[in-house]
Amino acid sequence: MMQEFTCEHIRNVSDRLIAAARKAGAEECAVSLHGSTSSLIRYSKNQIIENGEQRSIRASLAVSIGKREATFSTSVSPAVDLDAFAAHAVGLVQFFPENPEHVSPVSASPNLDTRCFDEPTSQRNPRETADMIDAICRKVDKRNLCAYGTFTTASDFHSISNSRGLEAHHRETRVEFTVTVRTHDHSGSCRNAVSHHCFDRLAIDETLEKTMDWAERSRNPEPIEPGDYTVIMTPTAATNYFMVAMSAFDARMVDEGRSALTHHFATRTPLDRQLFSPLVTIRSRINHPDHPRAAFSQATSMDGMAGQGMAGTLYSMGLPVHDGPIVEKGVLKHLFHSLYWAEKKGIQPTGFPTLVEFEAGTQSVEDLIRSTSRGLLVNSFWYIRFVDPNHLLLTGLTRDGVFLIEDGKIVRPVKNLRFNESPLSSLKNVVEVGRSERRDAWYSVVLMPALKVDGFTFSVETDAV
Amino acid sequence: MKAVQQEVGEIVQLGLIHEPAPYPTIRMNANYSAGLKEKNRIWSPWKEGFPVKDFMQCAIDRMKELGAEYGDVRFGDYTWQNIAVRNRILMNVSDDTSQGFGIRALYRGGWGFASTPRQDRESIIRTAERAVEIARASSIRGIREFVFADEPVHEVHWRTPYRIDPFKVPIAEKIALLMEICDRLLANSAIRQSTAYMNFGREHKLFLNSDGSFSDQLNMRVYAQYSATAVGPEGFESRTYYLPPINSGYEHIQESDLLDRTPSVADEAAAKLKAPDCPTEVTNLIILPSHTALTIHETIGHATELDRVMGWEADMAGTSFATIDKLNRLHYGSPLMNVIADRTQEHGRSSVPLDDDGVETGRWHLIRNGVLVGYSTTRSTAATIGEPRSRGCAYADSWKSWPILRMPNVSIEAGPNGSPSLDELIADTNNGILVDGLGSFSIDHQRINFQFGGDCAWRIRNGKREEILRRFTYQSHNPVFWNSVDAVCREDEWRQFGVVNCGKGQPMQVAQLTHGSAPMRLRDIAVGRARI
Repeated sequence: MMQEFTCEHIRNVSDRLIAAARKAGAEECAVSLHGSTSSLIRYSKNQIIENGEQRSIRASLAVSIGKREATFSTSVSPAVDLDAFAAHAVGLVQFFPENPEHVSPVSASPNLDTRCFDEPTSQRNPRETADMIDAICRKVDKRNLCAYGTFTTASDFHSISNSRGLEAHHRETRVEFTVTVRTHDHSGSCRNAVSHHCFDRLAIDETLEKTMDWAERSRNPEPIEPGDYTVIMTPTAATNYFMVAMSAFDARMVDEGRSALTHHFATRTPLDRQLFSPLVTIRSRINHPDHPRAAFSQATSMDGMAGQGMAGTLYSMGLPVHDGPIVEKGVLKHLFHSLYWAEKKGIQPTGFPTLVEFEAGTQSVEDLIRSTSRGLLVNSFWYIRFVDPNHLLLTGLTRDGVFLIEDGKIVRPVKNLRFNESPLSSLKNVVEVGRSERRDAWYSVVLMPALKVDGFTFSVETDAV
Repeated sequence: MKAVQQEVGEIVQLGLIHEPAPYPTIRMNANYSAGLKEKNRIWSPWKEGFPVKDFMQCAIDRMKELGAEYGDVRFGDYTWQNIAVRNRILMNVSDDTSQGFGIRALYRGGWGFASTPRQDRESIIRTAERAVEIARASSIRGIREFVFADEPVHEVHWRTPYRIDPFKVPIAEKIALLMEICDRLLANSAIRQSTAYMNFGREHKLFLNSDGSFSDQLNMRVYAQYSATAVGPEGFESRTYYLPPINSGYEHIQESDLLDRTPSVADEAAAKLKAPDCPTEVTNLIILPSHTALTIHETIGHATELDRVMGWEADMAGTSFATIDKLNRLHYGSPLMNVIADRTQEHGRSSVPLDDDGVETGRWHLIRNGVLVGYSTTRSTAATIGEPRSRGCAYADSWKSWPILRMPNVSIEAGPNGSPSLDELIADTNNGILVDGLGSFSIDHQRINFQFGGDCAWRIRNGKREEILRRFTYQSHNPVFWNSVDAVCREDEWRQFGVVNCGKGQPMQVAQLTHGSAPMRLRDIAVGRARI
């Protein structure tokens, strides 16, 4: 399955592109190669509706002459002329205006073996997977429920090399199981998703059982008055909501007065200040024994995230991932810098986190419920969007089950609600921290605890189940 | 055809009646006949010795040999270019190409798909074999009572009508335009940050299926957008201007008002920063086509996708409140609401003669005189509502993606003769808010409750447009919102805008759609409830 992606092949493509770019007149250059073989099966209403494999290798080449620079990408196959591709890139770049914020590629960094590749996971075949989904659907059928979801396996590689001699490689397997269970009358619904690099580490049966139980418990939700509530967020809900807060942690936006951190907290210097609850500690981790992740990444700025995605350059790719606190006991300790902004400020540049860890407590979700006199348990949030970037005010809706808690007990399921709230306020209002689970955020893996948050504002309810 | 079981239980029970589908013939544009004269009638200058059609036929033949009931092969050749400028700094120029084959097989109600970037006969045949192997694996729990709708055999050669190939315009010219835009925005001293970008796509797709249908189609996409951010003691605020996302050539940029709009964009960003907050109240809205595009997309386009209605998307994108039992019954909007789905409109972002199921596309009503009368469908879903043919809404965003149901271009028709102009509509409004452009947007997973912002909102008082309001949002829900429409402007006010980043599917695919409308007024909508 992976014959296109041998290490030798990757090195050949990288070396060839760098040599061709140099020959064409590039003063500096960097090559990033991404390869992926992935399979994804989708099931709906207890039947398989899609099942397929994707396979691709993509090469990105950044070239510069003086301060003129640009990036070019292509899919890689024997049909693509790599020499012509590199020559085209260099031929164009010499006519570009200079970029006053140009920086040189980063130098060599140690290439750590991150043990993210699991051979048996990479060898799973379509028959095994279809049989597994068949067994899952039988179980769900037996309980007279309806299941929808996906199962993904992937083998990926990423390599980076540049004209300063940097060369780093990363290989990983990925496996993810998602399951939504709905009652046949569509009055109850729950969802869970689990992922790891190793198939054997996925608790598929346990996840399925839990999802079926909670789908049944969420049946026939009753109306509830919107307003401010104490909310217990499961690790999924906390990931959905709090990871968006990271978009405010950009150094340049802070320095130029375009950040919610400065406006919301009315300070020009939010770093080293007690902005959040002392219960909140957030770290970027490397070398986690149970959750190994890539050891290198790129310096990334969150500037412009609302519309254009994160800005990073290939020249910053290959930096060791930031290893240390982002928030420590509520005090802001780290902001994300682009390579240019780090160099301008004389700060050692680091790579964007690949594993974010919110420090966990020891309590279960049940414990958090027991200590709550009145509040809501939220399983997940959906369609979160910025409303006012000055305060990082967000809106979104609950999904997959909301439950009213009174006197330490769940009393009934309630209808889904729309919130309008800022995670910067909520990080201040964290009052209890539970146990962690691994979740995927859209740009990192996160170890996220269940969190209890006071004063969380819901504006309106919806009939959607 | 290819049905595991020719039974449509749900439809029979509901006893729904459907009008025969008024499928138009493929409307070819002038470029089509020009294209016919071109050598090989294939739009890409591929290397000699690449018999792509033969390879595709080999894959089809192999799938048939292996017992597949249906199969299709797509070859995709994509080129994209992005150019972005921030504060007179060229931030990014990227050229991107991607080529490969995607092959789909159906075996006893089980689907299989496999893809490869390799372009040799052996790899393509091996990929076809893999697709069938996966389909056989799926068939252990294939789709029950599956009907794959019949479709006549077609042969289509087509490209987006355009005059100037954007990839032949020198990059320096494009950069100069973006720099000029930034310069003009920064000329306003309140503006601290300006960004401008454009992107182009040349998406060339060949398709062959086991029915014998073949298509050779090329979409040319052009887009440009810029923003100005004002910074002051009040915080920061941005104003954004974007070109209507249509499929066209570079003339769409040359003939646009991109430069002319810069002073007002900068002024309005500065004014937004100083503006009073939108109060919490219930008022009337006049929404402009640049804003309505996204509201149509989220509250009508997605809600009428039949795969969502059937529950197939419950794990991620969600389902829909507009269930099949409501067809021909639900008053989705006021009688002024006529909503058209159309994959044939000339420059539509999703316009193409043949879809990725090999189905001839068309134009039909989703909502007629306010009543829900139709859905977007594919060959895999059409039978659920008793329609014998698909509406042609299958789309895959890459050769390595499999086709899924995507909404077509969905538009609200202009008002009938005698409808007001925008000026007349404003003059007729004592109290309300005028909304332009795209702001915050969020909607629940069944498309009922939603909260939208705009890029700029003005108070309307006594029939006149007055001050800008900051932090404008409105909240409403289906079907109350569209039933609040009490006026739709006339035909000459109708404009196309659209959405270039619609995510759906697992793994996520991106679709691009054009959504047209005329300015319209809605009565008694809740605004300003989103508060810190």
